[in-house]
Amino acid sequence: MSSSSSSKMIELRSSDGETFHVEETVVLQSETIKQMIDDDCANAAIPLPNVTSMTLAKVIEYIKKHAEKPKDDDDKKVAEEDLKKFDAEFVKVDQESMLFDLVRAANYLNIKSLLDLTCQAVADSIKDLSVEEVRKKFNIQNDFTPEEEAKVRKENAWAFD
Amino acid sequence: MDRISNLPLSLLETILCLLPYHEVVRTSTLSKEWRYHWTDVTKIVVIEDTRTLNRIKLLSGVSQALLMHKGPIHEVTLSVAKDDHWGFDTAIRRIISHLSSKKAVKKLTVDFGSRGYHNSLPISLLDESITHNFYDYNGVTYTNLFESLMLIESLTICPEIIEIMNANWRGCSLALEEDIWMEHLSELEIIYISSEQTELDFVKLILMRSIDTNRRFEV
Repeated sequence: MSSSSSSKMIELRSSDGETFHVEETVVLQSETIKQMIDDDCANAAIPLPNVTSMTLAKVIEYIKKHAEKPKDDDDKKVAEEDLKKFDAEFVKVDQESMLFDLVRAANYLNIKSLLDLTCQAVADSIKDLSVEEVRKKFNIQNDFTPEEEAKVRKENAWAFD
Repeated sequence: MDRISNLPLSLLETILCLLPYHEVVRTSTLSKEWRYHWTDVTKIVVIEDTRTLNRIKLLSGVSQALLMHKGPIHEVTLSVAKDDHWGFDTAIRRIISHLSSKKAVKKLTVDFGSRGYHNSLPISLLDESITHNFYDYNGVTYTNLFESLMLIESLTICPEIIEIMNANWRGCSLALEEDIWMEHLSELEIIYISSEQTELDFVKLILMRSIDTNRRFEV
């Protein structure tokens, strides 16, 4: 059972075999891991075969930050602002692929706030882009013939104005 | 390997739900794989921005696109400035009537963003089955209107909604013959009403016909 001190450490193992030690209280933000702990499956290192060490390090950075508790009401306001700033910076990743890895990891680990944050970041990154720009950004291969594409476009011409 | 198409469908959908509807529809031209993703989104946000050239065209486009929609739609936001053009009412009515036929909409927010009193306060009608007639304000009968209201859980009254209702109220007697109570109404918020008699009568009637309501007035 997980009733003892709050500093109990949980060991996580990434797909590439690296291990991370995280406080149980922090890691409980992941519904997936919480379930494992509740089911008493967390005595040894928890394997996360879908998450690389690079992504897992990012995820841990996020949940650690989000586990900080403000001391009083004044502090709470400051902390909220601080957290907002942190979130905004957090999704400014160097590589686009990292953002998608985070979406996938947040989904697998079932961390709702991180999933919301990263999905919103993906949506924001394509907002206002032209179709061609979206293709380029995400490396989507256009397999329509020009005629086919024109036809699809005509179907909803209103959306392209 | 392209990065976004590789995501599980449910995640793609989550991301698409965060985009304005016209941008969601545009994804149909990305590639064959993307051809029909847009017809499955469960949340639709129709929003006018500074780049919207023609509001009526946008709305009638939406009403056409909805005909091709496959999956259920749970949440709809219409946020467009009110327009006196005759096509405006028609397009809105088509959209609402199409959504009604789907019977799955749980949350509908209509914001005709009058630049007047309350830019950001929409008419929000939260309800399990806001399906029939409520917004079909040209053809709605008085009784239908109240039958719809029976299921409504939260009602916000601001100028537009009164206007919509008034359209049918002229010539109607306000005495309600049917024994209809809004038993589910748990929240009533009145942001603005004028002192016109019909509007006061309407509010009075709502108050009379609802019981356990948490009432907030900011008039």
